[in-house]
Amino acid sequence: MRHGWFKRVIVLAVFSCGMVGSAHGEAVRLPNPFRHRIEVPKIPRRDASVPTIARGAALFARACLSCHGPRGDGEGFAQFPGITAPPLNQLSASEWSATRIAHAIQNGDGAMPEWGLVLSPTEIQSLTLYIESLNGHVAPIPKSPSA
Amino acid sequence: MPSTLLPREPSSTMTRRHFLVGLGASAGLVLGELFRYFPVYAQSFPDNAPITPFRFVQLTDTHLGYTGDANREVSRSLGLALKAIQGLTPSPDFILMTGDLTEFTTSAAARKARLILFRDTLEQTKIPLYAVAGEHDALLDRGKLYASVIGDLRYGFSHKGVQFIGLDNVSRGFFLGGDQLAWVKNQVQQLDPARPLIFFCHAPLYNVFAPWNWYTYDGAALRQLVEKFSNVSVLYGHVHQLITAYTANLYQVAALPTAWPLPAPGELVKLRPWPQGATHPYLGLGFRVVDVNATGRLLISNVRLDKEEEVYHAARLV
Repeated sequence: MRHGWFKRVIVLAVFSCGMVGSAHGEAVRLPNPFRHRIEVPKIPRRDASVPTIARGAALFARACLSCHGPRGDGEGFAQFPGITAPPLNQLSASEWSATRIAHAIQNGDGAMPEWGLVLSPTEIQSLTLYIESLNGHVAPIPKSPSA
Repeated sequence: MPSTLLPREPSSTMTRRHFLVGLGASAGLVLGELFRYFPVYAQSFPDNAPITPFRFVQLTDTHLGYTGDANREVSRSLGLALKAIQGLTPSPDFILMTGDLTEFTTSAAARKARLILFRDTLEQTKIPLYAVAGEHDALLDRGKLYASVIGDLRYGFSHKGVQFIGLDNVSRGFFLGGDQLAWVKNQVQQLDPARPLIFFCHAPLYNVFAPWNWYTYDGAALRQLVEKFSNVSVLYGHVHQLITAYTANLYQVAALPTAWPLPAPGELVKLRPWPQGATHPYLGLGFRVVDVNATGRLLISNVRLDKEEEVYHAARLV
């Protein structure tokens, strides 16, 4: 009887040492937060030569918003006396094709600047896509030439 | 009877001498008229002479032809400024006008009349004028009328050892454009980078506040062209208030207008001037006196039309 009690104490002590040892072993295997490196997978970027609505939106904020307004509704912040910039969010798809919109941006008319003098053809296409998106026109999904 | 023996009728016949004299007189008249319409910009450029101290005045945003509450008599405030300029001692060598000579109008005839009024008003001061266009003068017709009445949209000249380049960043939109940048590149390649260079134009060459068109879309490209220059200043108007900024190696300063002041940039609201105050009608209006010293540094003094005694209050050495 006394022998059985001693056996149980020995088994319990060995089990406890094993638990402590395994916990200690796991702590050792944890990576050093100051040394280990996180490898972030590279985000594939689109070719800069491909027009996108996102680029068009950025260009619109920089070049068009002042006169045509942030929503493209003609409610701009800077206007000339006697004239107002036309709203760009009410263009009918039948009258304003993408080619006509791009032509207007490229060549200007009256107080509308000739943006073709500073914007690249891709940038003008991006702006055209963005203006089409303001009107709910189905914008074609641009494809990379390499794709 | 041979016709050569007939008595000559001075009114109906012309000798070779008369023809040549007449031709010369006609050419003189045509040239005179041309120079009347095209102020004499052509000076030696570049100029390698040592810098001689001199003074000039920057005038901007006169908006002749405007009718409204922002300034109920724009010609009167311009007259006040010109009177003060004529009274300066020492007198300025020239007036540098940085755009918006006239108020925007869709009528070409009215625009031409306003430009002629400005030119004739400034001619009465007998002080040489170097001007660039503002968008109110030139955007609607791409600067054609401005060029025919006032002069070139862009040009360069040297004065007493200091190099000046007038830029057009308004007539086709708020940008310089590739052709003008190539022209500037060609101009600055001929200049000494150690000498002071002063650009003057209507809109700022950096982004003050794009929602109000207070910027030049491709201004950064011009800044790159003058990276080697150690002393470059840009005098501009358009913003109707005093704004100063260092952008890389460029010191850009806006001058007070003579038409009306405008709010400080930053709020996304429609750009509107205040009604002219009855008690302080010339508050926020003025012009700028620039003294160039022998080292090419600029001493800038902003003259307020409402407080002439504060002429040198804002003096600053650049």
